[in-house]
Amino acid sequence: MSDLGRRLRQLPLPGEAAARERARRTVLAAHAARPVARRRPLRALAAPLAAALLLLVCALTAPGQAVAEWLGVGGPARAVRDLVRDVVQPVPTPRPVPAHAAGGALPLGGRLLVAGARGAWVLDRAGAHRLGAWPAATWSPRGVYVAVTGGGALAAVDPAGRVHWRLARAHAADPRWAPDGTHVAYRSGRELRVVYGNGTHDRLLARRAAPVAPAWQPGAPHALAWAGRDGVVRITDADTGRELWHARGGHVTVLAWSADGRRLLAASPRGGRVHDVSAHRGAALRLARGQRLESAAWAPAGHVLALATRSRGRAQIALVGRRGPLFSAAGRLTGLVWSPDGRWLAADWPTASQWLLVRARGRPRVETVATTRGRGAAGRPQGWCCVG
Amino acid sequence: VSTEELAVQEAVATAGRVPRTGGRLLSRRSDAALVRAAQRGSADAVEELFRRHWPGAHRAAWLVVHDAAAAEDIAQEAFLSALRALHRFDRRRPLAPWLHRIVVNRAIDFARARALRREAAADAAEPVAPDAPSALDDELLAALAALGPEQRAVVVLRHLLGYAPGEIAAMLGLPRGTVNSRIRRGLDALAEALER
Repeated sequence: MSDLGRRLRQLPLPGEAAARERARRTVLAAHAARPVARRRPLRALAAPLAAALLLLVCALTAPGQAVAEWLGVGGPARAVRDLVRDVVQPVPTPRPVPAHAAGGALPLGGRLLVAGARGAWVLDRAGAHRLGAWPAATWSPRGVYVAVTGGGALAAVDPAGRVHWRLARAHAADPRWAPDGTHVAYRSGRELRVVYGNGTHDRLLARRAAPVAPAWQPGAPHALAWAGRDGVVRITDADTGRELWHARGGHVTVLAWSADGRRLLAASPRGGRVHDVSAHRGAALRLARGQRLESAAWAPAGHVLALATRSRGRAQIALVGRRGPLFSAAGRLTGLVWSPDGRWLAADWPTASQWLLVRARGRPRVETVATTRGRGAAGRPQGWCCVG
Repeated sequence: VSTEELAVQEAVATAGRVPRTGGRLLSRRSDAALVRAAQRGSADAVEELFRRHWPGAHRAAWLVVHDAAAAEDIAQEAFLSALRALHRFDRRRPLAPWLHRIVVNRAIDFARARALRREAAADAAEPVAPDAPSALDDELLAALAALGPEQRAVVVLRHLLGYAPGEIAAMLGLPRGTVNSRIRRGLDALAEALER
């Protein structure tokens, strides 16, 4: 056995040179893309010092506490309580204005992906483009492809609907593309599976997954949050299958990460919990009696959480911590997604056979886009891609 | 000739060229000096560190997981993790054990997880690269594959990468006695398999 080390070093590795070259390029590209830390001049420190002083004042004075809450220092629990107080009573909101563009065109920038029983569509300023009979869809990170499921398959199609790759999988649903593009997670019946972004190396990650779309953790591209049928929400390393975190959460229908990957919302129609994963703490999301959560989405920056709720035949969209809803109307509102710049929210308004666009910042404004010939639900927004 | 083959040819052609920084051969600089240069943004320093440490990291991962695509991913992810943490890396400590610890722990996790879950069915797409070499040293590979992932890992750390049992214990978070017994039992099993 004395020559074991030499024999181990001489064993031929399959594809060694190609693997080294791929890795070398990836590592150098990652190094080139990383921000270089620079010393901050004193002038640049003025703003953080002022903010620290303000927080100190907030901590030491009673009126300051209100300012701290306004700044979000009070944490999600306070913000959620504010929301509950606000959403009990319907408040007048802006009236929706029909978009002037015809043919399901999006009156704003970017491309809105919608999918439902009638298939998947991409809406942009030019109109609506059908991708095919796919009831679920998700953008790739840069909007080059769309991962779709339906008809016993998972596939990647381009925005023109051409199939790039296809994998036969019974009952495939809820595809979610990882932030770095290397993996696509999806459900196949009760199984949670992961496949490389090029359609290869499909594998089982977990059995007994609940019928909830999994959610990749931003900033940790191989960490996947998913809900099990045992009522436990887990974060699993998609490469190794290792469990990184878990919480017992009961019935869950929505999993959503904040943009910085710190907060995970695990919610059901009756409420839920916002977990601060890194600090191992959380805050309950409690809704008013009779109110049901339809959809939730974190803003693409910061910790702003938008909720679509329903109560006594009326639906509304509100931001956690902000007084008053952004929009309120009869019927249901589902499929809430943010525009990439964080200015607008899109939702499906099946009661009115329209997609709704609500301005979340600045002057209130609401626009609508007619779904195909006004025949009820045409599909929920799945993602809004790539403005600018 | 495919794009990948061209990339390999290019890599082979440039393998003999050693980058210079400020007139000094990078290959003569210590890991600590290269880490300092990399922290300041030097791509040449990163490339030299990659050249030094990729072969051991990749081989160690492959010997533990016996899966070419997974080994490539594990070793590459270890380098990317190292890059992400480069700004807070303590240069007084050696780089290689830190990197190898990431690689071997991830490889053990992967091998354990694979043992617990069913791999892709026959209708799944082809893997990125073929999984095993065809003939040479098949016996040794088969004997290694028969060990558990933890035993493979300590054998690889001891005999491929040359770490002492105490260092292996620290890397894997195990008592030193456990490492010694795993090495001994691993070597016994290998010897028995190779003598058959």
